[in-house]
Amino acid sequence: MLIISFFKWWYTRGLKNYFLKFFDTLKNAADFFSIRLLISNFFSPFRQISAEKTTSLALDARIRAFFDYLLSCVIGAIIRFFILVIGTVVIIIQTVLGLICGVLWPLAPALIVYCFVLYSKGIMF
Amino acid sequence: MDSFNPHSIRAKKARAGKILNSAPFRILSTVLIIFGLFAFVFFIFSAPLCKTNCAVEFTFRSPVGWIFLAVSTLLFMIRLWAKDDCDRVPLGKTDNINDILSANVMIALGKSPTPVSFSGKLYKTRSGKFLSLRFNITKDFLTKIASELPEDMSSVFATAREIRAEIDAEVVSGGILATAIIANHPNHEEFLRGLKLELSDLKNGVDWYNHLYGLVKSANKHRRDGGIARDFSFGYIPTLSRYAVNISERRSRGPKTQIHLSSHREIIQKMLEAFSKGGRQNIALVGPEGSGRSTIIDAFAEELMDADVKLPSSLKYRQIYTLDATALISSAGERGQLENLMTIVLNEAYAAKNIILCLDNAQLFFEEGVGSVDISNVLMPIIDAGQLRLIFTMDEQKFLEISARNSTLANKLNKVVVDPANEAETMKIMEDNILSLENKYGVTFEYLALKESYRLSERYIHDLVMPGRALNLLESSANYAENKIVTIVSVKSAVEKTKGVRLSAANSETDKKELLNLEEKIHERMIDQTEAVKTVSDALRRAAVGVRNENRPIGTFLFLGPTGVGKTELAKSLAEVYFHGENNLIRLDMNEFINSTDVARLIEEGKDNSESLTAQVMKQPFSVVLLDEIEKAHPSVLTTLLQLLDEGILRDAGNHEVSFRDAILIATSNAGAEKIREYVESGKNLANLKESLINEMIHSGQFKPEFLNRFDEICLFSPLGKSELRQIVDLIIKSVNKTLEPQKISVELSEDAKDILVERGYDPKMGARPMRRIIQKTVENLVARQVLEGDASSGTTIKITPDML
Repeated sequence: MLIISFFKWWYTRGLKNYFLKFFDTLKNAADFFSIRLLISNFFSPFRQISAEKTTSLALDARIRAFFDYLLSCVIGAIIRFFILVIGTVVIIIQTVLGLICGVLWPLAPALIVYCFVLYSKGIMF
Repeated sequence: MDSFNPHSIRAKKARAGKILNSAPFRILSTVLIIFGLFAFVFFIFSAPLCKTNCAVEFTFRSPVGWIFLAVSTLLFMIRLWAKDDCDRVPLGKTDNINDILSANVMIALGKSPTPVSFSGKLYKTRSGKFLSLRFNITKDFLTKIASELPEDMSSVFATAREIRAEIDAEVVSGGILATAIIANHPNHEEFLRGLKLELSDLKNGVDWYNHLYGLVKSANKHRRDGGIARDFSFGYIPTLSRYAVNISERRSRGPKTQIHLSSHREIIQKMLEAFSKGGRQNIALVGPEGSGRSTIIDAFAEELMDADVKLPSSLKYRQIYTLDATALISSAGERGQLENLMTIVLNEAYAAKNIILCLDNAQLFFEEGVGSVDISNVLMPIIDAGQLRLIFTMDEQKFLEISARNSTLANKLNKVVVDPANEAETMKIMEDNILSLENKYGVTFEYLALKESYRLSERYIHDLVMPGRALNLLESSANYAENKIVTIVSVKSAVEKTKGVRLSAANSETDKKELLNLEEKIHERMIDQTEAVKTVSDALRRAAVGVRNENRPIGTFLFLGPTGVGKTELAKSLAEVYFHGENNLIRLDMNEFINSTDVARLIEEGKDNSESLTAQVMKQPFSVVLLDEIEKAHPSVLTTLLQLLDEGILRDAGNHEVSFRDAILIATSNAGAEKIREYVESGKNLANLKESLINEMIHSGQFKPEFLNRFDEICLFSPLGKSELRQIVDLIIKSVNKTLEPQKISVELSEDAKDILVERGYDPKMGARPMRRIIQKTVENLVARQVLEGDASSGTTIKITPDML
């Protein structure tokens, strides 16, 4: 009875909970690396370094402010790009590993049986 | 009929889970899993030790490695199952008791449960343990009232099912089952009364446990807050960081702030709406201290930082900084510097693009006068432009003051009123805060301590409102825990120590002795008036053991009698004996309140007149309030005092409730003095005069019957005779000796000398009053002269004989 219950759980709630946790982990990773924010603010100035309003300044000052702004945006884009790359790599690795485990999950009971078959037949790599 | 089936699949899972989730199994299985994987790799993948030129090729390679892999995989699967499916066995599909019992209850019930057998195992369930600890429901208590019959289990289960439905619990936990066992006893109310509990308290306790369990679970959950690049698009704020605290950062760790008040939830919604739409980007949270303004801001800050909450992008990840007014003001030394500093801070906040600035106790920034600060000129353009989000907090009074001074500013603020919490809400808030308080102080709070905190804080803490005042007291009581348990006694101790009062006078043996000998103690400093002293003592003894109406003053007495017979002295004695100090006497001469306009002076606010009756009692609620010569007060004044005598409450001019419920109120009057003297001189018993004297005072219009009826006791003071005066001489000489004690000089009076003093000081109309003057003129002057002439030095006893007087 308990064994049936175990297998029932394994192929229903167990599998479902595994995937829920897997997606949760991916969400946490995406949040940790601020993926959504990095994409939506990719070209925003970094830390608002040149946020001062330039309307009342002279032309040369306005030009300088414009280049400050541009530089700030470029710095922001570079930093964001690197974090995006690192974050994406981490998420891809997590996804691949998670999916492998997800595929192995339903196969695990069969794997145990298969191991015994391999042993009984004396098969090796 | 409900019956527990120990062979149900849920029960089996629960028992399996107990073993599989036990620490020894977890350690052993982990070791075996790791070992199995290594063994698998070792046996399946290891290379031959000698590949070439060997007589015999030797290798560890063996198919047994597959067995190790199979065992490791199986153990790993069992571990996953045990954790997910057996620890908290999911509910079944029906409403049958076997489908709704919690896992640890099913383990504790065993194979043939009875109510009494479960009682012995209550500690084995988490919520049962919680109930035992917080409500003092011991194993002995439960065993005593639980039935021994197995068939009674079905009615216990039925009650448990009802309780589960009532408190909307997920499972029937140990706590619910224990409550059901208690509820099933016909005399449970009586048993619980012994523990000062009701059945509803236990139900609240189970609900409390479930709530805390949920909080702990949510605290362990990862909170998404935007990640490492969250603030990349927002500016630096070096100056603002120096003068402000980042609430959002502080609140991003630990459990989320719980909002129990629907009004507070509405306020947060209003804040979200105000800040997400155009228009005035400010909120003024107006409410009394302790009403939860800070909690609202904390919860709002958390909501903005929570990645899972749906918010407009213009509000997402905005951070709330609270300006530190003291740091700002102390940094700005010269005139104008503060305005400059504020401009820098505000510019930074604006340029950063993600700041919501909070001015806590905002009135500090808008004050007028010497040494105060008014930055409304700096803030007004910003409020007008609406480009920087601002939150102001202040109390209603301060808001009114600001409105009166600067109506333009007040009109531009989006005022939101924060109301104090009621009892149920305050209890919930305290229950939520328990975990952090227990963690902070390393103590455990009993449920009754929370209830007591509410009750006593409502009565004795006036500078805060609920829930702040109850939380404040609860936190203070942690310092008075015994054996690390905070009980009712701890809460009472906290009030007694911080307010300098005795909540229950008859607690210790010394206190009981003092109360029993109250008359003796009073007579140590006053002579005669045995009847009056006894009447007052009896009333106070009744009050001390709780046999009194808690919604009235401890005692209200009207002392009638001629001058100089000890009316005031008895009031002073009471302050000394009952409140442990003559300083706890608030004395008002009612001849200063002879006009109807004087009522205003009587109830003036403390900030306008610290000597008004209400102001003095607010500062010192545990006092003897002495209203001298009450007959001289204007009838309007007496009418004002009616509510005080009746309900123990008086409202001051600012409409603040001032409690007199911890005070002894004594009014004295010389009305009827002549009649008392005549009555006593004619040799009659004074006790027989009381009724006719009261009637006469009512008929003559001196006092209204409704006024006199409101006193607990009316005491008549008899005039003093020569024999009493002689004793008073002894008392006065005793006090003279006490004064001379530091100089080691004492005074002794011969019997003849006393007689002379009594003759000289006796005045039937003035009582004992002339006696002090006589002793001052004679004895004290004599001592002074002798000291100056060198006749009396340290260690001298001056013996006074008639010839020296």
